Amino acid sequence: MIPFDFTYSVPESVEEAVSSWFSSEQRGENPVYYSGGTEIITLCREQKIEPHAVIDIKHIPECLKINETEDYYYGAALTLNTITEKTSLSLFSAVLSRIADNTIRNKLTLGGNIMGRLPYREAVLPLLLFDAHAVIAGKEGIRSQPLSVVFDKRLLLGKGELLLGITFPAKTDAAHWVFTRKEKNGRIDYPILSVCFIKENDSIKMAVSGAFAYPLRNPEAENILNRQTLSPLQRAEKVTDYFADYYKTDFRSSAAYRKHLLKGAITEALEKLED
Amino acid sequence: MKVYNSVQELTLLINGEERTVVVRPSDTLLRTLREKLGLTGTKIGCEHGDCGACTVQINGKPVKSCLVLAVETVDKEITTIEGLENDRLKQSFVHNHGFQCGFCTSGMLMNADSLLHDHPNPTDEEVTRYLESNLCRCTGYEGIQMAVTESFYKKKDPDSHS
Repeated sequence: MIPFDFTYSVPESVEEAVSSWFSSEQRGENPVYYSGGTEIITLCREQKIEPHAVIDIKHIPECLKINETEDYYYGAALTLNTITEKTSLSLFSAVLSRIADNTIRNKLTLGGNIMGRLPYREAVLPLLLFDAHAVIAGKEGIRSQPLSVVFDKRLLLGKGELLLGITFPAKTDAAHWVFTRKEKNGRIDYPILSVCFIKENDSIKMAVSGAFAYPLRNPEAENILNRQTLSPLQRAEKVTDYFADYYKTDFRSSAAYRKHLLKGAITEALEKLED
Repeated sequence: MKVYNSVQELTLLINGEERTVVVRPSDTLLRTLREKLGLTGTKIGCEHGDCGACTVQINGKPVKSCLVLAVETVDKEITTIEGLENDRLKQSFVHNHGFQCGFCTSGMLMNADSLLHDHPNPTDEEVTRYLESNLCRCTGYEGIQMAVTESFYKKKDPDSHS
């Protein structure tokens, strides 16, 4: 049970949503944008957040659109299962279909996963590799910015801003990809390592979550990955050493074990993608 | 723009019937079903989205009702265990001892019914993918999986499994 009251509004346009946020803010209501709500409801129940205005973005057309013709576009309020069923991008589908469980994925949305408080936010991984842009709405209008710029540990939004969706240039499905996910307690658990690789134009890209405190794609690490004068194992060792300060330790795994898993995943991915 | 303030009367479509209920916007569907509509077949487990005991169907899809606000479900079709008409599936749970203490059973049934609706000819992987959303503290998973599988075979060919 959520032990406090809030106002719940259902805007049908971006303008209504943003205007509603600022009106609520002026009234001191600590407003939040709400999409799937799986995390917001839990945090409210535990009184870790206490918004007095909840603005549901699920009726805003830009948040529900999906397009895979010219520029690809996925609305922030699409559930993970909706995207998995509709996308032609097999890596995207493979990653989304491992987040949480099937029933939760009927509620959890793309925007919710990207904006969540949990450190994993695995939906970000393929999007970083696709060089995606975040489409963000605010008081000043709508802007599109590369995730590589606007996602630094978390999506950097200004006051009252709202993630409408994610876009990137049309892609043919990257046949050359590897996705490795490791959990401590079986499939339905948070990852101690979640890592994606794609090979494009003879270059390998990598994005990592689970092992670190936030999802990350790092150009320096990719430079090392692509030094083909070194063996896959040598490159894996250098990359994992490069990340020495990033590994986290928690009750699921030690930093040393996460590093060990990442080294194995990189070695296997390089051998597969360069075969 | 629709705005729901404080306590409000809503009409929800539950098990094919329009039900009027007074809720706060912060009331979850789980609490509304149980405490305001008397539909106590939907169980409170972890109330955290982990256990699946509170699974209902919204527009035919299995959803954990502890993570849904009642106000979100206006204009949607909600089905609870009380409205589940899949007798073949229920009988199959009985035949295969698909429950022990029974606390997880309503959530398991709602999820399994969605599986058989979405995938009338499910693969083992699809069965696992759906059922792994629900926990059984008695660990009766084998019987539950057999019940779902038998239900599917019976639909295909009543004589193929007994």
